[in-house]
Order: sequence, then C-alpha cells, then structure tokens
Amino acid sequence: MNKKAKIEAALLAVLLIASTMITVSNHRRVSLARLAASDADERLRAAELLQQQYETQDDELVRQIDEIKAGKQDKFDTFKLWEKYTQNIIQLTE
Amino acid sequence: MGKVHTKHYSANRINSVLCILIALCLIYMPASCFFSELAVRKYEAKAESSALLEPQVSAQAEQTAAMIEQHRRDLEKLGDLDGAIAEEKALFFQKASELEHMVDAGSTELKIAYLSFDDGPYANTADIMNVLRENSVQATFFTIGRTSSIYDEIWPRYEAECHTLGNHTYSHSIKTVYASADVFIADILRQQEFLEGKTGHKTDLCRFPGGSSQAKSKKSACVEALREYDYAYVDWNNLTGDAEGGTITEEGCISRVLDNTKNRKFLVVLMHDFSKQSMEALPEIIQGLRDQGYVFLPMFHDSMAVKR
Repeated sequence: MNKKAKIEAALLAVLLIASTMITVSNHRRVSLARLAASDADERLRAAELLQQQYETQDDELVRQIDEIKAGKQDKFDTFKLWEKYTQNIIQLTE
Repeated sequence: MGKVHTKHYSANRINSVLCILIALCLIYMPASCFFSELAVRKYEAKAESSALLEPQVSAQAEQTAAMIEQHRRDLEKLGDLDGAIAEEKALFFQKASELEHMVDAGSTELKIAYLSFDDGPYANTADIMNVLRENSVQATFFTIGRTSSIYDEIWPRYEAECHTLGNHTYSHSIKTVYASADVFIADILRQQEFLEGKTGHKTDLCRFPGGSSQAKSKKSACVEALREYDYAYVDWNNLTGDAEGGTITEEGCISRVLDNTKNRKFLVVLMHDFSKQSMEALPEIIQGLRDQGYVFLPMFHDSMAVKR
C-alpha cells in the first residue's frame, strides 16, 4: 500500500468512526422524539376515550332525566331557577 | 516492467476505492443528519399538536364530568321536585338573610334593593315578569283580589319564577279597610284565602293599602292583628311615583328611583302593576341600581326590610 493509500485509509477509518457515532446519535434523537410523540399521542387518546365515556354516561343520564321530566317540566324549570338564584347569592355571601 | 505496471494499477484502484468510500462517508454524514433532523421535527410537531390538544380534551372531559354530577343531582331531585324546590328556597332565604346581615354590618360594599309591585295582577304584570326574568331579578308582588280569568296565566308565574307573593288585602279599599283592626284583618284573610285558591300557596307578608301610615290611629291594632296571624308587613323608602296622578313619564320613573336612593343599604322600591311607565322604566331602573352597587332580593318574612 502506498503512502497516499495509507493516508486515505486512515481518513476513511476516522470518517467511518464519525459516521457511526453520528448514526447512533441520530438514531437516539429520532427514537426519543418518536417516543415523546407516542407518549403525547397516548395521553391524547386516553383523554379522548375518557371524554367519550363521560359523554355516553351523560347522554344516558340526560335521557333518563328527559323521560322522568315529561309532565314535570314547569316544576323542574322552577327548581333550576331557584338553584341558579341560590348559587348567585352564595357567591355574594362568600 | 509489466509487474511494476500491474502494481501501480492496483495501487490506483485502491486509491480510487478509498476516495469513493471517503466521498460516500462525506455525503452520508450530512445526509444522515438532515434526514434525522426531518424525522425529529416531524415527531416533535406531532407531540406538540397532541400536547396542545390533550389539555383541551381533558378540560372537556372535566366539564362533562361536572355535568354528569349535575345531572345525577337533577335525577335525584326529580324524584321529589316539591321537596327539592322547598329545600332550595330554604337555602336561598337563609343565604339572603346572611347577606342582609353582612350589608347591615358593613362587611360588604353591596346594598340591597327590593323591587315591589302593588295592586296586581294587571295587564302589565306579564311584561313586568318578562323584564325581571330577562334580568335575573326576583321581586315581590303585593296582590289584591283580582278575580278576572284573564289573570289565570299570571297566578302560577309568581311561584314559578321565584318571586315573593304578598297580600295587599282583597278589596284594597283605603276608605273602608281601616275602619277597625277586625275589618282590616278580615280583608287580609279574605285575600289569603283567595291567594291560596289561585296559587295553592300561603303568604306571610303583606302591605297596607296606601302604606301603613294610612291606618293612622288603627295602625298598632292592625299590626297586632297581623302578628296574631304571623304576618310581617312592609312599607317602602323609594318609589317611581307611578300612582301619584299627573303625567308621569318613563324617564320620570327612572330618575325618581335612581336619584333618590340616598345610598341606603336597604332600598324598598314601590311600583304598581298597572303602570306602563314603571314597566317600561324597569330595565333602566334595574341597571341603574346595579350600577349603584345594589343587588336584588325578593322580600321574605324574616327579612331586615320588613316589620313584624
């Protein structure tokens, strides 16, 4: 091997080491970013699922209320109005 | 010579291969960084968008959870609405009393205004109630024995819209009602019976026709009679002047009330159901009093604004 080839081989070796280090580092960065994105996505899905469950639960309650309320609407409105005025006055006395 | 040539050729090939490999390395390194950076940015954007949405969805979920609690309570109350209303009313008046004591003690900047309407129901009563409802204000109505069926739609609204229903005697005849305490209390009791028939509810609050001063020498006997029936009574310290005759205008009603509050802690405003001017002035009276620091309460038996 001539002198030039030796120098080139040494340079190549350095470059290969550098490339490997860069590859490992890049891979690590991408993995971490992917993991963070996946975590955030998972949290979002969990919140969405919870909201969906609550909505289903609430819809069922509203359905039950509507069923019972039929024929009692006026009285129920009066109750809600008293409740509103009571909440207002509680805020004023706090 | 040929051997030397072959050796030289082989060295050149090695050099070329090495150069290509070096070039590849030099291309690979920035390219790898570039594509990694792209991927990182893509994931970061994704994470950011999820992180941005997640609190919103969680807040929505919290709201829905609160609604569920509210609806659960509503469902419970629906089983016994009368009991639930009575419970809520009792709590309201307990808090109203607390507020009055706070105002009286000066522990709050607030002042209390009691809007009262006499001599109803009348053609304007429905409109008065609409204004009150639009402004979330409760008031007190001192009613008389109006028997016409045109008021049939009004009677249930007093209770349904959380106002206080008061007794203003059945006849409202100032000339005859103060003949004696017996005559007075008989008229009050007649109206009581009439009201129970119309609304199904009792009242323990009354206003003398023309005010308690009209009873003159009979006042203390009338008050004593009221006490026997556990009635409290109330006069006023502010009015629109809508029953004073002459030409009263909407603007006159507004200024009469708002310019004469005298910063009173407890303001009892007298108006009449029959007055279109008072009815039309009502939104501005409400806003004007609010601007002066008043909050509105309906009257109640144990209120500091009534006499017993």
